[in-house]
Amino acid sequence: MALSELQASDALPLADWWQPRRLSEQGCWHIAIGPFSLYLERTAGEWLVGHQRHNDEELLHRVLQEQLDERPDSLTFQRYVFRKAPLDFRLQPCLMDRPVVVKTRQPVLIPPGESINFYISTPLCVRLMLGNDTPLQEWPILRLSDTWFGPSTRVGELCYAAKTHARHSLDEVPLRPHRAVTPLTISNQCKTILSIDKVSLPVPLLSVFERSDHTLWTEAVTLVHEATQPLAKLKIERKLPTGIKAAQRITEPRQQAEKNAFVRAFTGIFSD
Amino acid sequence: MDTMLQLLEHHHVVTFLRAALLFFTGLLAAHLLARVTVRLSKGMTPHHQVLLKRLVYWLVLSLFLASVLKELGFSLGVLLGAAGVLTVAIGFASQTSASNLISGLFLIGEKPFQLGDVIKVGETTGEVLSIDLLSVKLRTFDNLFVRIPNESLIKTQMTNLTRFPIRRFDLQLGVAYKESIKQVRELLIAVADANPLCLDEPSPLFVFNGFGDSSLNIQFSVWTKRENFRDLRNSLQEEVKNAFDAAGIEIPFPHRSLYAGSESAPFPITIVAPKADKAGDDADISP
Repeated sequence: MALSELQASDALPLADWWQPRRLSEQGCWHIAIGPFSLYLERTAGEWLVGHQRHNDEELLHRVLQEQLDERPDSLTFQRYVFRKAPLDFRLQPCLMDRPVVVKTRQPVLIPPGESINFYISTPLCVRLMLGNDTPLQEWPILRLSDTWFGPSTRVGELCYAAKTHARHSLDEVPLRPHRAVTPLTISNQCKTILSIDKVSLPVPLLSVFERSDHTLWTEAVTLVHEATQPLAKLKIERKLPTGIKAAQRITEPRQQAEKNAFVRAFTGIFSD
Repeated sequence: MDTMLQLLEHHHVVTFLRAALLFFTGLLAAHLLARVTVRLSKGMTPHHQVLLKRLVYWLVLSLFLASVLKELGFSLGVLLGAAGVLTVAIGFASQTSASNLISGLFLIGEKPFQLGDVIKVGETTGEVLSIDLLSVKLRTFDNLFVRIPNESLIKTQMTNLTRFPIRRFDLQLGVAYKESIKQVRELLIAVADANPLCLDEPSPLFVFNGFGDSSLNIQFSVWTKRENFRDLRNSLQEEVKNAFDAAGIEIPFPHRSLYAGSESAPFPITIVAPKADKAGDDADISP
């Protein structure tokens, strides 16, 4: 397979940063995906890998690769030793390892029998794979804050807190290189009004897909609130979001969802 | 030679051999059954598995021992009677052990902690290595082995630090009277928000504790994953200090005001101009 060789480029050619690439040249390469910078250097017998995160707002949209004269001194590099260092590498986008809690802009009330659609974009992790898909290391692109999701400090689970809000319309969702978008439907099949101000999205159960415009997506998810259940019923839709085919799946889910799975998706309305 | 043959033919030797065979069979059976029990009880906690294994082992072995004694010609009834008398004597002699034993049974039933939990008893904090009938063994964080008798565990207060997945860290601090409480609150919440170890929900808690001798006393409580507790304590206090320094908020030392009474004259104080050649270290003093 002819792999595209890593060359200095502007933002556009690396838009699909998850494609396999070849690092044949010597020297240190800098690959930036949004606020995350990865530094790779290959010699005959080893790979040196370093990383850095930026807080600068302007860097959020960039995707670039450039050759540096020398390794940045301020970073610590991990040293991976091989008998013969592989030439090819791939950056795999994967979702976070715990559910992500997203707030709605204002509390939303869903009357019985109604449902609501949201678009949620969650930050990704980058997994560095070498040669024949040997995973080397994984980093979350954004360091998200931990949060507790449950009715009390004893019952619940640890999640990540996303800084962004759940949006109603797709136009409002910022399509950024380091985030994946999940279409979410919340359906209220209970006889009382469902009030939500935040939703926990079980991202470890979802896969990552690539759309032709180089944006990343996950399967559509439906959360059903039923009267007798303290937990919500999770449905991962077989029908993929528009413009996405099953063949464009880049990453498998971290955990396989059980059939008729129930997840802790809403809080504050139950006491269990 | 004849005597040896006579001895071999003697009834007692055969009995003795049979008893020995029975004893070793008992040992083997007890081992095997204990192993099978562990395999069958996979759903239980490791601690209960160990207890069940020991129970089965000793039960089977004692049954076989009883048969061995019977084989050797002892009358079990008499033996048990003697054992009863002995028990009273031993009971008096080993009051402490018995009390520990009973406490141990209660501890096992109550399950206030499990193997691997971190508990605090009195001044000692450590990881639970084993829960036995007489004592609980801990490994402290400076790697010392501590044995705590079950009786004292039952009697005193014990804290399990790892029972729940999240913990709260309470930061007690004081700011000078000149500072605005609103600004301090906003600053502290911004620091907690920026620290990824601090949980977003339950949200940080700001409590104004009152007017202290020399400062406004504040409690700022943040939640964290229990594994991150120490890291949070270090990073949060450092960040709060840095943020206060940057914003010019003063954390005061204890003040003392000297007052000589309303009738007396004020302290006579002279203002001395600093010498030009000396580094300007002398503070200006005003009454």
